[in-house]
Amino acid sequence: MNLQELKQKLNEVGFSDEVSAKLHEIIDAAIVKGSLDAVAKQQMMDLVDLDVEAGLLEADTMDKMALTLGSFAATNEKILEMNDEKEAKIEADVEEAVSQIEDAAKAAPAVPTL
Amino acid sequence: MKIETMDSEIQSRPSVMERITTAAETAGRPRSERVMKVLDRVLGAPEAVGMAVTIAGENARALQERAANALNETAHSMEEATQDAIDQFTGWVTKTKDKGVAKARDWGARALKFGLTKATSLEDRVVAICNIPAGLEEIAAGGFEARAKAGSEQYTKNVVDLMTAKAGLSAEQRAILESLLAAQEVERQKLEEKQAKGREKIGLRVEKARGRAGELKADADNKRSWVEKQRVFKGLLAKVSV
Repeated sequence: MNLQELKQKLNEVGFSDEVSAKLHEIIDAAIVKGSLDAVAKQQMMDLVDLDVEAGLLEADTMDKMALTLGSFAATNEKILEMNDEKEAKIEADVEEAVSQIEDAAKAAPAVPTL
Repeated sequence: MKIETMDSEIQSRPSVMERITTAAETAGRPRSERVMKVLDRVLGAPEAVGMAVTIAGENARALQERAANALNETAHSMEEATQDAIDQFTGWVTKTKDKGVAKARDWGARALKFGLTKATSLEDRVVAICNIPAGLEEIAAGGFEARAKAGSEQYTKNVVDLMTAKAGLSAEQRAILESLLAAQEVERQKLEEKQAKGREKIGLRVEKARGRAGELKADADNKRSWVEKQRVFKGLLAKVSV
């Protein structure tokens, strides 16, 4: 792969603005010069590594946050579930107690009129 | 006058008690026992019904308080569990952020050596990723107890007013009891509705947390895809002869 093709590839890859600018600067100088020296090549490799590292750090942080948020959502869902169970029990108890009161009221004798 | 005659006739009629007692006295013992049973029923009924309504009223009040207490306890329990979940969540986020920021600072120090002047931008991006979406830390169940207590007091007042107004315990007693029980049911439903609002808030929080988690996962996948392309470029660069 010649330097022009490498520059072409560089345009297709997403680097951070600052790293991209540095890489272009080095490769353009190499194109003018007609070759890429070992120091410049190593510098380019280091810059790519830096951007890869930054990208991975961002991706890892995003994944961790996504997991944390997912876990938080699951915990809240569990809280809701437990709350629903407790409320269903309260409702059943109230229904039963109201029925007992209603039954007691129905059992009370009516007041006859003379 | 005719009206005066009617009034005097009514006034001269024996009372119900007198009529039944007279009937009992004149009918002989077996007849007397049957009549006395009727009399007992007539005389005892208002007291029995009154007692039934009173007991039912007290039971309904006690039930209302029990239901309110139980719902409040559930709300408190939900609030505590929610607070624990939030504390745990913010703790995890802080840890993730601290670790990420430390790594970003280290990266920034190395980046500066390569002449990258915007080295702190990575730290800023890490902090932005770890930002907790608005509303996620809000406690949903707070303030429920005071509202439920207010409802309970109003309900008790209603029952007391009702019983006081109808202290005579007339034939309307069944209707009174029915309205009392209906009030009980309405109150219970109000408490349920308040609880439902707490649940709704938690539901929204779950939705928001899941939504943000989905966005971050997609962003992370996208970022890794870019990283993969960068690695491919590095592979090509490595093949360039010097």
